[in-house]
Amino acid sequence: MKTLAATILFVLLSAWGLSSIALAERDEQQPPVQDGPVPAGTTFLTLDVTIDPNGQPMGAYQFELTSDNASFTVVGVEAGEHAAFDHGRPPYFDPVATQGETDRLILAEYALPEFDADQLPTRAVRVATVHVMFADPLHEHENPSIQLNLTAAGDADGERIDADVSYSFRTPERPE
Amino acid sequence: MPQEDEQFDSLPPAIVDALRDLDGPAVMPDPRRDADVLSGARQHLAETAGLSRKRRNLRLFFAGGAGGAIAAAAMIALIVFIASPVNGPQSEQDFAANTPDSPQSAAARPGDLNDDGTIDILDAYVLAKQIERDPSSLAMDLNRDGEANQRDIDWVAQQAVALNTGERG
Repeated sequence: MKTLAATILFVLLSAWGLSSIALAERDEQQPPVQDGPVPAGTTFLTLDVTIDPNGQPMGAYQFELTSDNASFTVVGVEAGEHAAFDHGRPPYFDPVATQGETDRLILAEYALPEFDADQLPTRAVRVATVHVMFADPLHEHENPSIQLNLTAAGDADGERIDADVSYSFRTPERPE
Repeated sequence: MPQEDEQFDSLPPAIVDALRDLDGPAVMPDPRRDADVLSGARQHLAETAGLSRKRRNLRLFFAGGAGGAIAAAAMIALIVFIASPVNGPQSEQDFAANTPDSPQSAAARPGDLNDDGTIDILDAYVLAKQIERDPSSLAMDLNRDGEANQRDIDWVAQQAVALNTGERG
């Protein structure tokens, strides 16, 4: 009888221990939970990204967003304001950036092919809005160092053009 | 024995006589012999019971150990199954890379339509334009699913923005 009880106890303890290990491993593989209480020091920033094609019609763009002093997690991407780039979905990006911390994000979009050259943007236009979360606490009044690099911009035929990319932090709207 | 006589009434006389011949004179065993037999029987039972308990304990030990081992093995198998990563492609790019007939495995950088050595959004744009002009052209069927459509454009664009292979600008 004692042997049987010891065996049952051994099995239960083994199951408990191994289950704990398995659950811990599974928790590590899961992406961080985005909702719920925000850890102290977490900073959410919204960036409006603007591209200026300097007078040439812009049919496609691709830029890379990096930060050299903080890793971040992408929590949302919105399309820009021009109808030529309105596909009814966000611009292309790798969803890996939303599943954990990263130090770079590539965003890209092309104009709807039915838009002719004279219908494409030729002046500065907001092409995307990116919502990012910085988990590392930032010093007071310090913004993370963010770099934008325009890796591709093309005209109505897909030929490369020179363009400028910039961003601005969006001030959160406060309820009156 | 009137009751016995009544029972024998229905039997043939020969059988009744044979039955009555079975009853012999009463034999009384020697009480000392009886006590020896009883003592010996008790000793034998005691030894047998002790041996039996040991065997039963041994059986329980092995059965319990085997049961525990089986349960532990089953638990380990279950945990390995739970903890193993989700099967299947994690991204379109993985899907393309793991598909034998995918363009990626068929030729080097098949999405580089403008042949500038880089797969970027300009290639997707060129492809979208070509498919817009001639949707029936199977030359633009990069993912080889039998038709040139939005999925081919998405395939190129997703390669352009992939973080694991995207080229840093």
